[in-house]
Amino acid sequence: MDNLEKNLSNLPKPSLSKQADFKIKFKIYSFILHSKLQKLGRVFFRPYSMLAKVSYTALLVVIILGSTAVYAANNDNITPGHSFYPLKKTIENVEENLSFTKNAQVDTLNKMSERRLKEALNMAQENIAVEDTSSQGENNSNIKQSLDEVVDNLEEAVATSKEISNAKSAKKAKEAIKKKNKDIIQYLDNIGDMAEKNQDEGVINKIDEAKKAINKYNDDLDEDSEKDSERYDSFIENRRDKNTDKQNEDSDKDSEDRNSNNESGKDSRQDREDND
Amino acid sequence: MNSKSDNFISYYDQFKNKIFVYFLYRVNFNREVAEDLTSEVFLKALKSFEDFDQSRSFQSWIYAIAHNHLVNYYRVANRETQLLEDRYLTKGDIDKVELEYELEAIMKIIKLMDSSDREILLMRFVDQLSNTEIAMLLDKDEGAIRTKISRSLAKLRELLDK
Repeated sequence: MDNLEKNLSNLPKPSLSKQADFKIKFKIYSFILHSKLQKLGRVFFRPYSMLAKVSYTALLVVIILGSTAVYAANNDNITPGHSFYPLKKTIENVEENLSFTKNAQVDTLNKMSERRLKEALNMAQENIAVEDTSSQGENNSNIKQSLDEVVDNLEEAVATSKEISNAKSAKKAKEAIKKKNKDIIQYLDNIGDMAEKNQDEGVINKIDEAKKAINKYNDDLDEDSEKDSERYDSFIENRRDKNTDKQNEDSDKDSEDRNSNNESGKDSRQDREDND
Repeated sequence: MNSKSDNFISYYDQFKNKIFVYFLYRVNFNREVAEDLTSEVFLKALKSFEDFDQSRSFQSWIYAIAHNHLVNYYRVANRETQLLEDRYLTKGDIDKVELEYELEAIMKIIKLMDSSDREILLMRFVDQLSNTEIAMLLDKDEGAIRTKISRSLAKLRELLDK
């Protein structure tokens, strides 16, 4: 390298000012941050990205399943044999598991019994409309199964109500069961009328069995309520007695204190007179 | 920040002054314009950094972007003629870079040279690019670049001797 080349290489090479450097770096960082945020936003706002497709599909599935579940759970026309019936039962299972208090459990069991009865009523109505004996036979066996389930639910509800320790809550649960039993009897009468029209002996017998069981549980609950009210009365009485005893003790103590104060007053007066 | 962004920042720190000097010598030592162009080039590079092949030389890549950006800058703003006319450095410009007497003479002569000679000398000695890199930038054969550099140097010597 000759002198000229050296001189050319030595031509000044100023640096970027700190201010300009800071500005450029700021722009670079802003751009990086902006593009990252854009990427994140694009996933959800660009409908053709893979992740968005998956998210939207999942959301759609959830919506469809959710609405189907709500439809299935609240539809009395979904009876045993319907393709959505297993879904209905699964939801009921979830509902039962989500009832955390004993009172809530009793309410859920009552609701489930009512659903079974409505289903049974629908099936009995169907039996009148349909002349096909095989489907009638299938419906009858499903009605009987539903009625068995009603009795089972009632048994469980009564047992649960007995486990409630709080007297007020227990009373509330038992009253709810008794009230529901009235509705159940009404349903059973309606189903019985239809079964009589169809001359479904099996169903009529099952209804009688269910009615007997309900009456038995009602009696049981009545006995329980009598015992509960006796227990409640005695509890109140005991409490009242205790309060009166305490009040008497307190008043005795007060009078004793007063007497002792009077005597000590007399003694002090006597002492003063003796000194004088 | 991910590693790619970190890489870009480290490349920026490494080449910011080189790119600034590249522009400074080509925009009549106007610091503001050179700074703006430097900023634009790095942002342009950042936008297409995803496509940058890490096995390639970043220097060649960033100079290629700078070169194209400068050509575009001249073209779009129709400044090329004006810049060529104003290429003669004023006393103020020279003061700005605080040139020594000998270097000042060289700068004055360079400005009188043909733009292609001037460009190749700046690339080789100010930007300190290798012949291969200059060949890539100007899309020419490496041998041709070597010859061009020696011819331009000879021309400069001739002008300095006058």
